[in-house]
Amino acid sequence: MSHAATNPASARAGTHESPAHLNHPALKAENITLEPQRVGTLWKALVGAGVVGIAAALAGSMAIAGGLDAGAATIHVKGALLIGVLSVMGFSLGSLFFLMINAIGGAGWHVTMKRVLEQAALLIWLPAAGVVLFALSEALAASNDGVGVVSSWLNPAITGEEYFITKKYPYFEPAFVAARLALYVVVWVGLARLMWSISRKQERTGDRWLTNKAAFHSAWGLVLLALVTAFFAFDWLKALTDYKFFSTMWGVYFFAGGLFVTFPAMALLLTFLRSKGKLQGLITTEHHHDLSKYMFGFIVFWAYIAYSQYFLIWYSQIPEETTWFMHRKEVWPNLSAFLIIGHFLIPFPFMLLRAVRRTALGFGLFACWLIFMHVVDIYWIIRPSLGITLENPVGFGQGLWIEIAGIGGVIALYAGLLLWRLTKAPLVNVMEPRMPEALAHKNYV
Amino acid sequence: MGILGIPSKTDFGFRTKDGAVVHGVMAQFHTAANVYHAAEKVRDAGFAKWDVFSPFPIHGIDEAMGMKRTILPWIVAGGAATGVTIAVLMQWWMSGVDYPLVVQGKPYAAWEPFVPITFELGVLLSAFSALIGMLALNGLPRWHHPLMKNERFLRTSDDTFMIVIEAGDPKFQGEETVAMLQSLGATHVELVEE
Repeated sequence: MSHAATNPASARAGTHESPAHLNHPALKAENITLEPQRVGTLWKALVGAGVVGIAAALAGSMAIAGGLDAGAATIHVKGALLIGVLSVMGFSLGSLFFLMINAIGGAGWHVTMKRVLEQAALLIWLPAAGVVLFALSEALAASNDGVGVVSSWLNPAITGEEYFITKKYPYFEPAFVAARLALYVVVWVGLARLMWSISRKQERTGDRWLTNKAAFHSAWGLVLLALVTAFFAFDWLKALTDYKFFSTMWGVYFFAGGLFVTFPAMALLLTFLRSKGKLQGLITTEHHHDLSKYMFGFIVFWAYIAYSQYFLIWYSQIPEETTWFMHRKEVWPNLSAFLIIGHFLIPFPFMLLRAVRRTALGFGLFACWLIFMHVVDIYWIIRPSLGITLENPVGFGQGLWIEIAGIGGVIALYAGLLLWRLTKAPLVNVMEPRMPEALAHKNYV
Repeated sequence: MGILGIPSKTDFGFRTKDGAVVHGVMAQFHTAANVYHAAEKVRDAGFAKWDVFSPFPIHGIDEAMGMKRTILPWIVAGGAATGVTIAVLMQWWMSGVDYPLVVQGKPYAAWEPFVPITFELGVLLSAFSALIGMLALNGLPRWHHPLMKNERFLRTSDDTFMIVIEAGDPKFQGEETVAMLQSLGATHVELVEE
């Protein structure tokens, strides 16, 4: 057992037969272990930058509060932090979804990046905790006569309207909203932990049938994940910005955005790990080519559903629906145009090119751009609605550094914690029965 | 006269002793692995007019044959760009210039309703250029191919593999090429008449 010395997992394989691929040179321990000292400075710096950024945003908002409406500065900084939280949430949810569709589809090519996806999915607790904190601050603001409330349905200027009371109130009963949020968090964290524990158990025991168990749990899990995420998007993006706004496409829009950011983030993360000398021969140009195909696919998918949502609302011109788009189109025209151009028109032709899809410089550059555009997308959803009923809301550009510090802080905190988590477990589950498929993965087109 | 009785090259190309034009030689292989490795050798020998026939796609055979990437994607991109341009210009001219109508109080030549038609025309011309471009690059359609009258060749759509080297290839050497194919592990080498 020559591999037993280098591979602790195989030594614990127990009653199960060790897979033949364990002797593969790429699976030796030093290639799949991210030693804490390799990234210790970096993850601590990122977490530090995150904490400093968030603190600076909070402190800065207090500093500008003097010249504004009561609550405007609070709404501004809470909105900025929420934009950051919802941006990183896309990566965790997208990773979880991608894990589950691959499990249910019996995919093998991705198993060398599966552990990194599992780690990203497991980190869903961070954005989930961010939303819970946000919800608590909303409850606090609501009890303070609504000063600093972001959610449209908690806004005292709106909640007195007859429409709200007669048509919408039962859904926005605070206890019901809180219970729903608790359910979303439990489902997300539960599913992420389920996928994680199955993978870790397989690593320990070498039981190849756990792969089928993951497929089984993905089947019902995907339905639950889709429903819960859609309703989360209804509650904390759509109703938050305008509770009158209708769109059955909204859940898909948020989901599409999540997957839109998952593949570029994975491409960057894996390139980073490879630059540290890890995953050599496990993540190759072929795997990156497929990630780039997914990147391209979700550029198109996002554009398709975002346009479809807008187009039907534009055509039917029902006041409750058009208001949301009208506000963005007329008060924020440049941002809206930038979203269409940057989110779709610029990356689309370039990501068609094989050269861009297969070279680290090409896909790396566009990965950075796409992550930025995802943040812009979430910004475009939330920012125009911040303080919409106030007489003196924070305009675009005013206190922009607070937004940058807040959003960047959340992203840095997330990235730092993810990097720290990656040092806690091997980067690859060597007991994956589909490992040979991933090791030999090749694009034949 | 060698194994298959191909005389050396005449002014009229390779001919059989009956005077028929030689299309090329056909070598049969029994496994995908054999034909794959033989293809690598044929590629390294520098042949240009030759092909591998198989009942199913063999992964990596294009590399083993040294095939260059197709230019078809660029033809399709041209078709798509043409479709998109025509669609936008057509709709802008119709609803913005030639016959502006108020529809639902929307602006003339609003871009929103253009998108589905632009998309559809882009896809339509992409599909046309993909199909027509593919046929043109393959030299299709054609009435007949010399290989089609060979009973043994027809088995390449069932249970066997073939390498065919055409007599029109500058490296084609008649009997020497036959000997080379046999040395590559061909189980049967046969002359194909035009």
